[in-house]
Amino acid sequence: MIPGILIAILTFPGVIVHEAAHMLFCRLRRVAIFDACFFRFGNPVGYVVHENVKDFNTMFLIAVGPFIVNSLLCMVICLPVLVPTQMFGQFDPLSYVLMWIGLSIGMHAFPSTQDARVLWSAARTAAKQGRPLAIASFPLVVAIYIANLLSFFWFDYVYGFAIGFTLPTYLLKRVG
Amino acid sequence: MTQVECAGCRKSFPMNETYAVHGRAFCQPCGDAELSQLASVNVRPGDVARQVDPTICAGCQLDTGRSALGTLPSGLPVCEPCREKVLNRPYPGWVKAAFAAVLVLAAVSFARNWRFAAGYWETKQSVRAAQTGDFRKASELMDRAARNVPEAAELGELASYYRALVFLSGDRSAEAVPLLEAYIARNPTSETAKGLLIQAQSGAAFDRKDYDAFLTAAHKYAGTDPGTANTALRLASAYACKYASTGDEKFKQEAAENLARARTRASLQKEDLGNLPERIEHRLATREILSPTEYQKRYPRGWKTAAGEER
Repeated sequence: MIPGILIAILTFPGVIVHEAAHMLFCRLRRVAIFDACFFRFGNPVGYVVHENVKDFNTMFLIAVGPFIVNSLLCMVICLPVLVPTQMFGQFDPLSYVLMWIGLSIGMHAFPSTQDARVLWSAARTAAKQGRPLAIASFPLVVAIYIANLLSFFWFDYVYGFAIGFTLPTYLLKRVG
Repeated sequence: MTQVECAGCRKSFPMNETYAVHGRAFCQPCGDAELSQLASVNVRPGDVARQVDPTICAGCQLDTGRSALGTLPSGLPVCEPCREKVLNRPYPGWVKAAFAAVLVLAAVSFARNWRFAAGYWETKQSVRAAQTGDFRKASELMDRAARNVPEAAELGELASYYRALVFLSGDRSAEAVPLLEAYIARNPTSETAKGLLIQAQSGAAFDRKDYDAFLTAAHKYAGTDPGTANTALRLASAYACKYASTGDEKFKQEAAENLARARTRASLQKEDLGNLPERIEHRLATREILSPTEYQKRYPRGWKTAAGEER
């Protein structure tokens, strides 16, 4: 078994973006941030300590923020190297660097186990109360929760590659 | 600082050192004692909470005396500088710099790799043009794609291939031959290209009036695509040329038999053979060999119609 800390070290750009995304949504939703660590050699490898949030919409956005930001950034970074590497098999050092950064960021798109648990619990409660966003986002919350469980089987890596390369390649072939 | 009286020992404590149990304030020892008594009762979340002094900033511990500070949405009291700090906590400089560096790298890569995107787009458009039969456009686009991505040798090969098709459709078979030969040398498994090469060799032989080579090419073609109307028609055309150039009746006989065979097969397969059958008949009747262009120029409405009008 490869320890998670080693994976986190190898993919540290993703950890930084993950925490930055949490922080971004805290700031956007005016939630107080008491402490933030973007990367460290420990467990957890990064964190954002913010005040308790009672509003589900805010909690949802803070928890899902990395999923949105990391996924988009993964695509943006992988896009310039997509055609040369995937369509023409041409690799240069810059392509390797961008692929590593892009995939690392994509890999850390999923909320952490802690985030997934909090979101899952809050979504269930809010959905029972008939909150529209909780009901509308419930399938996504379920998917995120399951994906988080599957990250044990490297699903986060699969997701990163899919969002960075497989899906854009498929779309490019269909559209062109 | 706010002082609170403990509901257990009745002593006064700073509010931040007390906590509420079921809404009553206790110092820590009394609170622990109260909680141990309640151990048998179900304690729910919220029943026990640390008390927060509204006059002391939760961030910098600034004591305002008796005036209450403003609170965060979670209820924590904070002074204005701390509110600003926790609500607009800045990103560290190195995070901003790293983010900017990655975006610059992505932009540089995008600029450097733009030619690949252009090449890919031109390739797709070229293939689409080829599918609609516009080989001139396909060839031009593939040429551009090959210039954009010289690393992909197959693009150059495809550009040559499409150019060969343009030459073939424009009665410039001789120019198509070397292009197709080069393509087949690099793609020896392409049966379509092999068929086209025979077609080009056949056309080139016709153009230089080498009717032996024309007949050989027709037989070669028959070997690759036997039993079709087109095969029989090519043989008929080649034999008709041999008859026209030598006057040997056996070639005329072969030409007539193959022409009949082509017509039968074409009617079965509902194929249109164009004006070649009539050109062959003209060749057999007059022993004159006209190129498609010459024939079209002389008989724009067909040789038979013209002959009928003369009669």
